[in-house]
Amino acid sequence: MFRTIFFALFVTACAAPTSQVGDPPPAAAGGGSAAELPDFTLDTIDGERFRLSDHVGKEVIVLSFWATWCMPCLAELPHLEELYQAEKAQGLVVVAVSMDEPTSVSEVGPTARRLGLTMPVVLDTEQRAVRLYNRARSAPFTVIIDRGGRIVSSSAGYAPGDEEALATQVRALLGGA
Amino acid sequence: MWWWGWALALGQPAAEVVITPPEPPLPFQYELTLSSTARWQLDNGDRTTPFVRDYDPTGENFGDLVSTLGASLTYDRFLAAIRVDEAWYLHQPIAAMGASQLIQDQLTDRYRDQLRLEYAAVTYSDPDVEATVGDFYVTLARGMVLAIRKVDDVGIDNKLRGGEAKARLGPVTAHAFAGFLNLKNYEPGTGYAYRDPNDLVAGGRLEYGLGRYLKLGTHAMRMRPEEGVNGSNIVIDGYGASLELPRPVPWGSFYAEVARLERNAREGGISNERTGYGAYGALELQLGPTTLLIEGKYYDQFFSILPGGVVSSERQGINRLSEPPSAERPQALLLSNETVHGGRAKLDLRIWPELTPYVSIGRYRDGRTIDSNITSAFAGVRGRWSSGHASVESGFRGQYGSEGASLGRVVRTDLHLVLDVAQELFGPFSAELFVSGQRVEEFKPPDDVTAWVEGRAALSLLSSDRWSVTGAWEIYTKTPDQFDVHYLSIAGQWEFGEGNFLRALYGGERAGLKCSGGVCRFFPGFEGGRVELVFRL
Repeated sequence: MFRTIFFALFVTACAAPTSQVGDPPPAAAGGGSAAELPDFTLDTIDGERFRLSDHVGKEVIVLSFWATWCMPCLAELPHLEELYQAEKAQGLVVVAVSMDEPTSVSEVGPTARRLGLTMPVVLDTEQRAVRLYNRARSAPFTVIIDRGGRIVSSSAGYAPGDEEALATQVRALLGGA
Repeated sequence: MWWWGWALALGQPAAEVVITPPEPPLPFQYELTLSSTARWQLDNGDRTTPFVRDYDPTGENFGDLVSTLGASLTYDRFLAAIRVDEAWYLHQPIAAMGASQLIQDQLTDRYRDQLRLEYAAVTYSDPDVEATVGDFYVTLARGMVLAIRKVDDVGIDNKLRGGEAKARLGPVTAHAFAGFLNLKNYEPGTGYAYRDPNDLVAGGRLEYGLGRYLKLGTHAMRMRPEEGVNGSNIVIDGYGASLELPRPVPWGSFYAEVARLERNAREGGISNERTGYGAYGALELQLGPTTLLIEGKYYDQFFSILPGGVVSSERQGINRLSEPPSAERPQALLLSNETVHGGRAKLDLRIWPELTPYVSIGRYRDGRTIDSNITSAFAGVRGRWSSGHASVESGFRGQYGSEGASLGRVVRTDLHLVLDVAQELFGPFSAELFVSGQRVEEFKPPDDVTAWVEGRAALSLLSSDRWSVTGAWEIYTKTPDQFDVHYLSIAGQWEFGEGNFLRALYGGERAGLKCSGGVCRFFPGFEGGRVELVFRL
């Protein structure tokens, strides 16, 4: 019986109209606005509080989910820092969301400083941001939110050269504001 | 039938950079995510003749379809989310006629079809208040007393089903929660099925913070498992306090936590009490381009909490509900983290932004397994250039007897190497080489030595159009008489749309212990084909 129920769900999910190139991505397809974007508040490694809703609707936001044991993440973060340095005056906020477990969270601060990160680095040991924006817990995983508070892209993984496409996309959003 | 859905998914165009114009907002936002893995395991690598008494059919010639379907709806400050997990098995392995009891036991509670509402929650959040009714994860401070969490790499998804609330009133944050333990009820790697224990867990934390200068916190929890059939009654209490100086000066930070665990049990008319203590501290100093991390721990009978109120000294218990910091590599196999004291220093250099070496040296005294000393040292360097990056790390961990007849005797040693190199090639293409391996030696009295090598080397071709192809070789020499030594596989991945994946693998993957987030779990070998789809609507 339950097989039938689940396969009905499965087939329905796969057969439902899916987004095409040019359509808004999934999270925006429901009409996400600043008020509707799920909010989270997390502590930074410097003891400050980062609240997503303080920035939504005002700045272009890049959420970068990473962990100290994730090698592609450590390769990507310096590029994100360069982008943040270059564009923060134009209204870009890059947030590095650490998915480290309590067992390795002590590594987050030293790693961020070794990489020279000045962007907000937040600790998400209770998966408050992960369960909202990165349910598959991919690392690295990048979410871009425009000034209208809409998710315009989310992607997993990093390969050399990806940072150029990301910078192009972010600059287009900043310039189009 | 389900291939129809997959075929539709395959028909989606590849991702492009798309900037969409603003749309009139709707009052709600939704998301539907389907993650589904279909596989057929051809062989379990067991070289014993099939269908004889001692032949273990576990993991042999069967198929499964393991899926999760998640849905969420956001309205104003409310978020409602559910997740349904499903596991469906085809051609379930069965024991041969007259199979040994051991083999029959191996197949108990395994390969059972499942359909469960694994996660359901409604969350309210505003700048000062967060409240959840339903399932939630909770970690108190750094997990010494309680860490109920999700670790995907090893298939763990522990939750509480109940309610929690967190309120921020100026510098004070208060967090309270209560709920019944909700475990993930099947383990995809091995097909094991678990039932949810009726364990009630309640607790809270109070924290006072002054920005980067100070954060003081105290917390407590109580766990009361369901009363046993023999009338057993167990209560576990945990208390802790933490002091953090996040960044009072530009060149340093400090964290310290102390905790106490008590287990009071009345089982079979006999009272049994157990108490454990733990203290952990971390000091970070930044001196110019150098960052120094000094970690120390002192754990005395600081047991792990497991479902049902069971406590354990072992670290391989997969559903541990507390996880004190290890002050070691997250990937290290720690046989015990219960009665141990010691620490380490880790030095990170940033001489050039493009080249960052680091070194870590640790020394511990383990008083549980065999009274022993542990020395752990590893070093690495990460580099990047305009079109690529590389990192390499190598290290040693040795455990030696420290008392009596075992003084100086080697208990266990391991050497590890991790290498990762990625280089942009031409056009949209780049390549990545990843090598990870370790050589382990275990010694048992009087002179029994087991040595083995386990590792993986993978070469990937990646495209910025979001597809990749990977060829991999794996080796596992611990049981060459029973299982294969070498494993080859070819895998492909395609990301389509936004955050959607199609992955396929054919070939073999070695068995072995995998450690992530302080949790180690033995994964069986795999020989066959696997297709995985992650699809978001």
